[in-house]
Amino acid sequence: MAEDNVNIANKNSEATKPTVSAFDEDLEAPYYDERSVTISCVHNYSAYRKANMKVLGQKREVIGSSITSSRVLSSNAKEVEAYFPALLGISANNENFVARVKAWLNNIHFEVRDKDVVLDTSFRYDHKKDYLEVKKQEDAICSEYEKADRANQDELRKALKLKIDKLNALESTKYQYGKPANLEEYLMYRHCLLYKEVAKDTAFINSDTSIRFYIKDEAREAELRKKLIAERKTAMTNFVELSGTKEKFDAVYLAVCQRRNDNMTEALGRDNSARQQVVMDYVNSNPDKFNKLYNDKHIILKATIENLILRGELVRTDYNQQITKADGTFIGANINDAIAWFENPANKGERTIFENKLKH
Amino acid sequence: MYKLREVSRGRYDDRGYSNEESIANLMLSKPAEINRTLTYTFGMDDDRFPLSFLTEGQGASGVKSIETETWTWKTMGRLHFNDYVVYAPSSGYPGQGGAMFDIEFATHWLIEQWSLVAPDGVTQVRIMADLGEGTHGGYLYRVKLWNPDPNAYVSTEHLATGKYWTMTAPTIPASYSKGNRSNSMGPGKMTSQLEYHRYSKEIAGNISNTIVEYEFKTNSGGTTNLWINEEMRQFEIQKRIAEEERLWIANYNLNENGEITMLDRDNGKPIRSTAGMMEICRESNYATYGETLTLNLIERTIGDVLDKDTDTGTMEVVLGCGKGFWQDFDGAMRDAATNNGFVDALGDKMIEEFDGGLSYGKYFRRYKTIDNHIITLKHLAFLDKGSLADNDKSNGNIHPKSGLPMTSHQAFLLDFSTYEGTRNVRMVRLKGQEHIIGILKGLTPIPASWGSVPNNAISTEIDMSRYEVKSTIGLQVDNNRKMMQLKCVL
Repeated sequence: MAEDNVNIANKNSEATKPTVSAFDEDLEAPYYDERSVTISCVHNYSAYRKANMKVLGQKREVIGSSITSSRVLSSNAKEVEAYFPALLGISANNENFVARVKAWLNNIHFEVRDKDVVLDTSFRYDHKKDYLEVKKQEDAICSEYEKADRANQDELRKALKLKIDKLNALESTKYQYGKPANLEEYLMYRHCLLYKEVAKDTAFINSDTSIRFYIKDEAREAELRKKLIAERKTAMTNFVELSGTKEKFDAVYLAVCQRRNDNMTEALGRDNSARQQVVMDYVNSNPDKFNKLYNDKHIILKATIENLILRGELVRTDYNQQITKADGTFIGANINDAIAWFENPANKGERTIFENKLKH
Repeated sequence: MYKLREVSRGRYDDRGYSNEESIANLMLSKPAEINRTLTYTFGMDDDRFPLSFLTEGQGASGVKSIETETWTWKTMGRLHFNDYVVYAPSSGYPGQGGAMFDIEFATHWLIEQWSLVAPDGVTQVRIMADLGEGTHGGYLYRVKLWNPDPNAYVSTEHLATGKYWTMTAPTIPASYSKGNRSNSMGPGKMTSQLEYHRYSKEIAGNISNTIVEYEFKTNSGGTTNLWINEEMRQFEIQKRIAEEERLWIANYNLNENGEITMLDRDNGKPIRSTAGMMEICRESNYATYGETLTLNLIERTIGDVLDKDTDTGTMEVVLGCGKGFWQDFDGAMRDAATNNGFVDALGDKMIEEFDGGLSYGKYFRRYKTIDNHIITLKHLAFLDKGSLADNDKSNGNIHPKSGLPMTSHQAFLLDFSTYEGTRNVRMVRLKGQEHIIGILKGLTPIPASWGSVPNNAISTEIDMSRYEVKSTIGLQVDNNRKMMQLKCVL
């Protein structure tokens, strides 16, 4: 049963270094994606432990198995056949293979001592083109998650679940393109993705007392920080340019107020310097979102529609996003449909009437 | 389960249940003892009160009355010889050519002149100098490799943060050596606190004398058709279930600054919460398992915990668990037996003749480790049927294979041993506040079970009467090293 044991705490991997650099243009050549994730203890100690810390000491934290992880990780037959024979020392056609795989997954017992454990999740791709495709998909999954409203716990939780499902599905295809540099640590990372006592986003650490660890993807976090700095620089330039065009500034201001859930009547009553302050704060806190608003080619028309809704000339229903005229005539199922309606040359006359109403 | 028998409905004015009367009188005169008796009775009839039964139900040895709300106790662990690296060279060839190099360890436990063995169990160095406090929060030691081979060096793998090195005897030259020092351990001090409970029963009208169509069983084994007796029986059971579950789920709430943030809304006074058994177990040792439990995991978790201390005195360590864990444990033993080829032996036990037919089913409830530790399972019904289990069922938090609530698929390793004549687990009460009963008498007649109060005196103008119970409760675990929670997670 020795090979069934999983105990890789603090293991130093001696992974073979890349033979092909990240900048090699030969897409058919092998590629080594060097990466790691850090599993950290939350150290959210109970009052009982804090009161008795001198005797109890720091907690010995162990990542164990879980039903979801055991089921999901054993569900992709081809992936299991690709990875586990080397780990268990038996071939995939051995009659006990499935039982041994299950036993391995159910025996996970991985100690995180004191601080962090770094897991080597590097992957050796047979061809660089596969790495690029996987990376593209991974980036798309992560950017989709980043769009979730971080102030809304429910939405964030759903978005995270979706992200994990998609990431796991993506990871489970990688066996076709190569091999993990350190199989045990890679599988441990895959387990941590599915283990509910490991937080995949630090936003959840204090929301669930069962969470004992969190994953830090340092490479991705560094990349995000870099991106944020670039977005902030662009946002600063955009803000300066925006201040020179009153119509567009007001349109962006209105959109910002909506995203902040401000009272719109109060928002419209603010003077110019207060409006500048609101937009500037938004630039600082959400530079990427501000840039999207700035680059939205329909931002002025959207503001016109929102103003018409505020004045009661158009009506947005409480239960969906449908927009109608005050007399109930249908304009569009959502703001994008309404934009299409306003831009339709057939509605030019009505559009002018609506715009004139806003001038008074 | 008891049956209900329909009798006639009418007024009931006889206070002649002597057993009922005597219990009631005792309730007022010696409340603490009666409380124990009831716990024992309920514990024997119904296994919903295991912790109350194993502490309060065991008489004086299982209960400790104290003078203050908080209390402390001393503990002494096993002397250890190792420490872990907090900082060391991470590259190069440390120690090569007889060069000395520095390692920073977490504490000042290691001693100059003593030697250290690396995590590989082979590489050895001698501590040449104790350099005092290091720059990474630990203590710096200058060491030299014992291996005389000039090419030998210490692998940086052994010097990674968190790696433990263990100390062996001090070595010195034949003459002119200086002395070193020795480590000693003092006892550590643990602390916990009591919590207060209050239960009230209000009655009005003539409920005390109303008899109903059904006959109820009393705690003393008789029957009654006086409704209030049944209502008071339910009150007592409800109280005991609440107290039992509280002993499990309470979380200590006095913070490190000595503050309690939970304040009563009426009077702003702090509300204390004790450390319950789940918290004590979880904080001592905690592990999870998945779809199936394996013998390997049992040995690595429970076996490892049992191995922590030297057994002294009468060991009484049980693995209290829900039915779900019981099934998982049985499955683990069965798989191990099958994998080892004991199929026939298992089959012989599983299938037996019964009443001319066949009976299938015998289940594993014990496991003996290679070093003779015995793990015995004890069913904790509250994990299957208690309020936490009911909550799991209602919220759909169900085990996908067994259909049982997830609370059922967990186990607590409980050390009920007696060390030096003292039970390891005891219930703690505040002296004079162990279990106080008071009656607020109005015009509503007082039932016999509440005890005797002056007939004509009333203490409220409202036409009602109240039965008030105040109690204190806390849990004392002297040695928590063998306590553990092992639970299945989705």
